[in-house]
Amino acid sequence: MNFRELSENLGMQEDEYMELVELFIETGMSDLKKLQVAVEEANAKEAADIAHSFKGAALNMGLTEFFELAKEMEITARHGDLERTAPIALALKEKLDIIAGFVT
Amino acid sequence: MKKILVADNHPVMLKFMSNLLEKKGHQVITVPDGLAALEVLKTYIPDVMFIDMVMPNISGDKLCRIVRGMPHMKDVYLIIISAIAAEEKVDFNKLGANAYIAKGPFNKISEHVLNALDQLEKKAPNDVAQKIIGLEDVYAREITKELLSSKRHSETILNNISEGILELNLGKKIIYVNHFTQVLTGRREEELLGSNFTALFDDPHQMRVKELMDLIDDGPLKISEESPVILKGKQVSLNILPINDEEPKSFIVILNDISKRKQIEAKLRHAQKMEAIGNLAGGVAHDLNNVLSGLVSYPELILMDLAEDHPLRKPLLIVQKSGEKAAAIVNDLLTLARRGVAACQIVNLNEVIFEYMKSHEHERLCSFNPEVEVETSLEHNLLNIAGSPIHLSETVMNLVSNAAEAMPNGGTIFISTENRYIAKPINGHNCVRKGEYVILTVSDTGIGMSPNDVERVFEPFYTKKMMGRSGTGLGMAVVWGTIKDHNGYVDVQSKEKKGSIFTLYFPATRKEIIAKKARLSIEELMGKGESILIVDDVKDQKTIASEMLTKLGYLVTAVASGEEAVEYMKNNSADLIVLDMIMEPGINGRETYERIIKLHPNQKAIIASGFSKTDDVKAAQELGTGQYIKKPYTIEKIGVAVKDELKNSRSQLCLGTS
Repeated sequence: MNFRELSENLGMQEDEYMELVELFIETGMSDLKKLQVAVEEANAKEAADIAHSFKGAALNMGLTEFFELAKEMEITARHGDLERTAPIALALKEKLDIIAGFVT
Repeated sequence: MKKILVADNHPVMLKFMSNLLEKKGHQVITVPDGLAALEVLKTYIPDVMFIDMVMPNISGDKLCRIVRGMPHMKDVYLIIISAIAAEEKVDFNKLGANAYIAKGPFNKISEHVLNALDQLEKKAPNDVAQKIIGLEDVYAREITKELLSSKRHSETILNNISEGILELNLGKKIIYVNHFTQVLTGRREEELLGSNFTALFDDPHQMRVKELMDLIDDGPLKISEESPVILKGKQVSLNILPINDEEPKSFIVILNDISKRKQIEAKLRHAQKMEAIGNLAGGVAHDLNNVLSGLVSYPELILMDLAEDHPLRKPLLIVQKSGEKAAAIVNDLLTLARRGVAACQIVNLNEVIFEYMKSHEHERLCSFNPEVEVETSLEHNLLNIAGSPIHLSETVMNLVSNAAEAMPNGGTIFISTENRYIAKPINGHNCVRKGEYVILTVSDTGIGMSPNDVERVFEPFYTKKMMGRSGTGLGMAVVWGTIKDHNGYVDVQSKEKKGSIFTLYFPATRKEIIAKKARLSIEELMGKGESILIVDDVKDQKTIASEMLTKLGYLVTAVASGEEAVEYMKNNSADLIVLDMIMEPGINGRETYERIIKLHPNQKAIIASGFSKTDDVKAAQELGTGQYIKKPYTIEKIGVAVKDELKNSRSQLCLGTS
């Protein structure tokens, strides 16, 4: 993942952008945990709201892949299709783990 | 340098805004939700606020309205920064925002935020934005529209239910209210949001709510309908439901206004109490009246045979008076039972008051209360009412007696009457028939009553009087019963240590008073040997009636049941039958008469009963019987009734008063 390019696209310094990425990962991890609980409890509304928040941050950060996945996750949750929401959340978690590896 | 407050729920956004604005030399405070923003605003007045629309604990639109409602925040420049603009039409004027920036990638947000701040330098601060900045950088997302639609769906439901719904944060501050909560509290949403939940309740109840809230853990709690708390004078029950699947935890509170239901329940209890007394009274009245007949009637018969100077005359008169008094008490119970107080006589309340003021009862009251003065102010040309003079007199007596006892250290009782046309509801009575009323007011300068006492003053047996000295606790209940029987209304105003005012409203009538017949002499009542059949299952009653009518010159036969009467009439005839109504376990008076008229179609009869007029009495009268007289009766009463019926010129009937 090319953070320099991403930060340049957003007109930001790389270190400044990386600080936001760290926060995005931290918040994202926490959000995905809450989302997992919501899926286990079949609370589709809660899952969709979390996905919505995640999606907004991804858009702000210019993280297109995250944005697209989060959007799909929100749609499935909003339609109560939590069986499809769960694997997307897992995929997002894996992606977060990957960029977390880059950051540390 | 500007002082800037940023409210957004996403940490990434807050960090971004803080970095961006601090780099430009501004002083920045960030908060994660609307409630936290309100906390900051208690001590900090920013020049600019950036507000996200979708936030927990008080959303952005509500935060904008609250801020705009604060006089000291009127110059703050409000900029909404949210992606919602792409999904729904935003009414800037309604929110009071100065600018609106659509969320998108950070580079675009950065550009628009800095532009907005530049605009602020050039513009007057209270300009309202007309355009959403940066809308072209985001696109409408169907899914978010769905989210908003779903939110609106819930909001519509929440705002149209008749229960107050609130959400509280962990600190018990209000972060959501529905429409009914605003109605219930009489406060606008902007005033409620961010305020302390327990402060909503009336002072003595705040501690109870606070203690309950302190107990709350994971399970729901409630303040039940049995012991509600008071909010703005209304009785409310509470259900507090913790929301456990979110961090930080919040609480949903459901408020139910049960005031009206409590009032209806209280009225129902009151009605049931009256009904119970009614049943009791009705049950004993028959037997008691039969027993009393001996006391009322025999002295009269004996006195007829005694010389004017006979030493037993005085004690016998006392026995007779006592019997009449006892019969009046039974009548009190019947008034309470509301089983037909004859209220069809045309009466003038002024006359009732004059009579009462001259009475022995009033004299006695004055002697018991020498420090109490009674003043009257009676309207000349007071309209008449249709009523029962005995019960109205008792009403006056009970009200005066009640007033006197409210003034242990003396004072003045005012009795006044007036004519009034009532067109508007009277205090406490929503459905008052328009028309002319006669108003009776009895007021005192006594100790007054608490609101609780006022509420219960007409309840049977609710008394604060010294037992043994005055009534039985039925006096004011009789007043209430009498007012109801006269289709009237009552209003009670009272202030502790100031006194009480009882205002009674009786529907007026334009009918004139029929002059009272002078007491008839025994000669005028005498019969001419007509045959009378007495039907009564109580031996004493049968004997009393027989002796009275024999004395009046009638040829009397008496039987002890309806069946015997029918049997007798198969082979005999009678000019008139005096018929008891209730003769258990045999057939009652109505059925007896029904069978007799099959044998003698135009049989004359009168009814004598210990009960008030019942449906059976009415049915018998419809079949053809004449007057109904209530036991215990005097020789004059039965004499007149018999004579009238024999002449077949019935007295005026009092129908429809039960």
